Amino acid sequence: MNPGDHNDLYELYVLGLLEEPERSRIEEDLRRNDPAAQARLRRALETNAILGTLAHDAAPSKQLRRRVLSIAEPERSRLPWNLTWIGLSACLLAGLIYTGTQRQSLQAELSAAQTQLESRNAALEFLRRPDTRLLKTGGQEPAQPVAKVFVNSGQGVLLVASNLPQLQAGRTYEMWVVPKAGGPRPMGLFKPAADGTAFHLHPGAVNLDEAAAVALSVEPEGGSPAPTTTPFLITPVAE
Amino acid sequence: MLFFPLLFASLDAEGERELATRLQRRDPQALAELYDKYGRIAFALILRIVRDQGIAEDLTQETFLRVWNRMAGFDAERGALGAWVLTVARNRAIDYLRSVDGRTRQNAIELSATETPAVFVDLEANLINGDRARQLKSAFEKLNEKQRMVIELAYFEGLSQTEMAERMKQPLGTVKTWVRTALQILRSELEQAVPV
Repeated sequence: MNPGDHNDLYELYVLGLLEEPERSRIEEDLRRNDPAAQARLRRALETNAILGTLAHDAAPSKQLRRRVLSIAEPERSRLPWNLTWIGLSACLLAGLIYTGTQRQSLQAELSAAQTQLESRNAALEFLRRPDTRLLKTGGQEPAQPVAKVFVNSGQGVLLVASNLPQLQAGRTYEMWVVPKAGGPRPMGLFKPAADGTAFHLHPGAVNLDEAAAVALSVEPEGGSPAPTTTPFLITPVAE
Repeated sequence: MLFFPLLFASLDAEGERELATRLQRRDPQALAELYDKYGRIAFALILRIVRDQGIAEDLTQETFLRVWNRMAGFDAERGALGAWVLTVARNRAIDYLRSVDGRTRQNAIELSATETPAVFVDLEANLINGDRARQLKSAFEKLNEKQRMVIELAYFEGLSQTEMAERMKQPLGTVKTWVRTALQILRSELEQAVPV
């Protein structure tokens, strides 16, 4: 098979046209992180993405922008002009505002549920992978924060913690991968459930050869580029 | 066929990196900028596939929700946001078509496997507005009618080659030849645009 045939297969795969047995062969190559397979996949994805630009121009409604931005609503501060507008219009538009609030609330609930479902699905997908392994954490004392950390060099880091102290308002937990040399790398923000448990997956490739530990710290809302409080639950990355 | 006009100002690689980093830090303003850059083109693509304004808007919102939730797995240094957003958009739309048509075929691949954020690295940062996009559009014009049709049926309708053969009332082998020839022509034009 010449290189052009290989490229054909990846293009067909990305388009959803490749059939067995070639499809399984490609998926196996990708699972093995074969560099040539990854390169061919990337090129096919490029072509695929560009094909999307062949669609006719079309304008979405202005409401769509607001709906999309509502995805980040819980992290967004309310705008002062919004309050002024509501104050001036309250009497006339009370009914509409009520309806709108209901709708926004449902939208936020839907977004939160979708977020949670996606997060759980990603974590399960991560745990199902045969090359995911479990690290041992140091904190074993009763009632002290404890964590199990799963790492997968190709897929990321999953932290399952319990007994985490509740956070003050405006604070969040941030996970870090501490390299053998250099500063900690941020691995995402999360907040524990009311019972102190947390389930946080940071997907993506991690260079475990250069990683010394996984740790947590308490940071201001929105996170920090480097820890601003003493890291804890430091879990060594050992073979 | 009319092509999607280039609506957005050029994004340099540094701008993409900065935007991706802010998205990973859950900056709501960054989500607004991402939508302003790619929302219209993602919507146009989805609309082309599902042909219903309301459903296209729902799926566009779902696209950005998925991107927002998966940003942590995106490589901000080497990743290509535009290509990823369009891939997620197309997959959402094709998944929708398959679900409503009952076309969850035995041979249909799980499209979400092709939208893992980590694979969108080392692609041209400004891919969808850059030279390669223009080159591919030009190449698409060079395809004959049948070749163009099979690419459109595959890309915009998510049809398998067997389904295309039935739709076009042509032998499966003929359809497969058209598909492969079309892909070869497109690839050849892209390789001329950017030597690999």
